Parts: sequence; C-alpha cells; structure tokens
Amino acid sequence: MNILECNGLVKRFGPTAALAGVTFAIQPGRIVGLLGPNGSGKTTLIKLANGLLTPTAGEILINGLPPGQESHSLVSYLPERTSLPLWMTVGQLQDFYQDFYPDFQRQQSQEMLDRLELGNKQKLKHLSKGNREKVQLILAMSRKAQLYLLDEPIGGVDPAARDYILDTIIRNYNPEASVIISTHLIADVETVLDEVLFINQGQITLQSSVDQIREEKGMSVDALFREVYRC
Amino acid sequence: MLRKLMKHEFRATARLMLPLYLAALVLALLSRLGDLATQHIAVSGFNILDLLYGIITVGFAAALIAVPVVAFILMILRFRSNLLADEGYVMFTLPVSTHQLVWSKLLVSLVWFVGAVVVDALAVMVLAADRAFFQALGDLLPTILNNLTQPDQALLGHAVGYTAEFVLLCLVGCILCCLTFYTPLAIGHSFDRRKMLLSVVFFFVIQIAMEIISVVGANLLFPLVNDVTVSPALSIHGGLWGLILCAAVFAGVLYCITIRMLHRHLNLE
Repeated sequence: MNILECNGLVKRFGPTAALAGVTFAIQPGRIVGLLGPNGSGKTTLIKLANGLLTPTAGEILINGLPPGQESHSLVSYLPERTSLPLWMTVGQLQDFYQDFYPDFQRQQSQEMLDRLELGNKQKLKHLSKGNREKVQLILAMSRKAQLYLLDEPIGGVDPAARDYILDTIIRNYNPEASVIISTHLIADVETVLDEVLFINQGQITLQSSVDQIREEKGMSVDALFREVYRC
Repeated sequence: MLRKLMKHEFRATARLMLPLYLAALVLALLSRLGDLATQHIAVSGFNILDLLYGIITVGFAAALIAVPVVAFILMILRFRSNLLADEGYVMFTLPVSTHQLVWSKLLVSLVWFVGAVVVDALAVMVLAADRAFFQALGDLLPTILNNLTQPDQALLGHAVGYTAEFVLLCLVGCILCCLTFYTPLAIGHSFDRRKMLLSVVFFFVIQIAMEIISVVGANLLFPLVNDVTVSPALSIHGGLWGLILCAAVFAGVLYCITIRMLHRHLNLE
C-alpha cells in the first residue's frame, strides 16, 4: 500500500489555487524530496497531509486513511516554524511526546539531547532559536513513525546546522518508513534523496528517482531544478 | 487521551494558578494576623505595623480579585495560544480528536473557576472568621442535622433539589462562558488577516444574537408557562431547569460551531 497518495488534490484559498489537481503516490521506504520554489504549494501539501487544512476537492490518503486522529499516529511532522510550547522544559517536552506517541523512543531522544548538552530542566524559551529547532527535530525523529513529513527542515539555518539536521534525519528515521523533505535548497539534500517530486504553481511537474534523473538527463537534481525553474 | 490532554493542560496552567491560590490564602492569613496585631498592640501615632498591615490588606484585596480574573484570562489565552497560534501545529497533529482538544480546555478551565470560588471563599473565611463565627456555625450545624433527620421530606427534597440545580446551572454557565469566547476566536482565526479584530467582532455578533434569541424565546415561552398552575416551590424548580436548558442549548450550538471551525476551517499561520 502507498504510504502517501494524492488523487486530484485541489486546495483553494479564495480565488487562488494553492494546489491544482495534484496526483501522485509514495511507496514506503523512500526518502523523497518535495522540491519547488517559494509559494509552489509545498507547505500546503504537507499541511493537508497532516489534516491542518481541508482539501477543496480530491483526496489525500496516509496509508489508505484520510488525515485525522488515526493517521496522526503514523505520521511524524516537523513544521516549518518552531511550534513547541516555549514554557516547557526539554524533559517535559519528552514526557509530552511519550504520552501521546507510543512509538516515541525516549532513550534515543535523550542521547541526542545529551550530545547537544541540553539538560532536561532547561526551558525552551531560554534556548537559542537554533537549539529550539534542533529540539523539535530530535523529538520528531525520535519516533518510529511510518511517514516523516519534514517541512523546510534546513531553511534559514547555517551550513553546519544543515549538516547536523540532515545527519539526524538519516541516522534516526525508521528504515521501513518514508521521509518527505520539503525544501528549495536542493544541493544540500540531494545526496540523501531516493526520489524527487517537483512542484510548481500547485502542480506536480515531475516525479522521478534521483538515479533516473542522473542517468536519463545526465545532470544532478540541483542542475535540473535550476534548469526547470530558471526565471 | 482526554486524560493525557488534561494532564498537560493542568501542567501548563497550574504554574500560574496554584501560586496565585496560595498567595491569596497566605495574604488572607497575614491580613488576619495583622488585624489581630493592630488590635492588641496599641502604639500611638505612625508605626511600621500599621504600614505593613495596610500593604498586606491591599495585596489581599488584589489577590482576591486576581484569582477569578486570572482564571478567566487564562481560559481565553490558553485556547488561543495552544490551539490557534504556533502551538496548534503540535496540538492538531496529535492522535486525538478535535472534541478531546476542546473538552480538555473546557474541563480544566471549569476546575480553575471552581477552584477560584473555593479559594476566595476560604480566604474571606480566614480573614473574617472569629469566635462568634465559629459559635454561629456550631449552633447552625445541629439545626441542619436536625432538619435532615426530621420527617419533612418534601422540604428536604426541595432544598437538595435547589442546591443541585443551582450547582448544575453554575457548571453549565461556566461552560457557556468559555464557549462564548472559544467560538468567536475559532471563527476569527479562520480568516487570513486581522484574526483578533475579527474575533472581537464575532464575539459581539454572538452576544447580540444570543440576546435576541433569549428575548424572543422568553416572550414566546412566558404566555404558555403563565397558564400552568403549580406551587411556588415547583415553579422555582421549573425556572432553574429552564435556565439550565437555555444555557445548555446555547452551549451546545456554540460547541458545534467551534468544532466545525477547528475541524474544517483551521487556518494556522
């Protein structure tokens, strides 16, 4: 069964179509890059998959289920913005994840936090923006989910932090799960991707494996992206 | 899952409410001690005890007001910040239903409201209770017990009924109070811009609509009720149940709108 499937998915905000009839399917066990320029519909698609938005038309299915209470237990979501409660301590955040997600690996999360020298008693509001983002990533990647939806995980961070984030994703994701990384920073993620989805103006313009692009087009994903989206 | 949501909601709110409850009780105790001290230590002219007693009394009055006010403000702020702002990305992707999210907020707010009433009553009692008070209480208790064991079951039944109906009315009223803020917030935040301004506008729209419905409903209902002849005791029961029903119907409608807006029209930034 497809872990993520969209059939004629449409999302309109007033007269503007953020997604205009998107159809694709993702198999389990793949690391997929959802690649597109700003405003192409990446975040809208990820929000729809998380049930944070309702489709105007069409359907989106997670492991055959519409987004909702059941699908939420299968999906680990990293939002574009830091959304953890700032008053909580690092330890309380881990309690929170452990309470709601049976697949949360507390020991794994604790080890990653220890490596960053973040104590359990530290409040999130006292951490730097970069560390808050890392805590959010660690919590998301400490779940043994079936689908990881990572919205711009490396947007707005320095190159060293990018390496840390990508390393954390690759080391910690459940190998039987799929990972969807939404970004426009192709060069940084290209090496970890199995497959790419190009999205532009609310439509999927290409779905292909990275190897296929290299073999058939004779260029890297980054080079192809620059060619396709040249202004 | 509702239990877990409530646990974390209590954790988020108790860090403010519990110290406030404690402060109100401690200030009540200090006020009482200050009162006793100024009665027994007679010093002419300005003295530090009077100044201290004055400060404590003002602090106590402020705490007495702050307890219900903070519980009320916290009820609104928690709904907005936890569900409609950035934290909404975490809350609405938990494996819980929208009903559970809203009920966790309602029930925890209800607990803090009830707590505020109990703490304020206790604080006033600590301040005001003296020997005469306890003597009066001591005299009253046997009378109550005596009445409870007397064979006048009808009177006892009414008294218990009124109390139960009044408590139920207060609880439903508290839920309605929360929802009169949750619903406009949920509607206002479904728009792309000016979310808070629109929430305020919808708050007044809902208030006006409820007023109109209440007045029209009362005008339609009273002529029908006037024709029914019942004893005064039963008419009080009828009035209380009428109020409970009205509050429950309004709360039910507002709850459905809130759930619908959060479920179908959630629009996090």
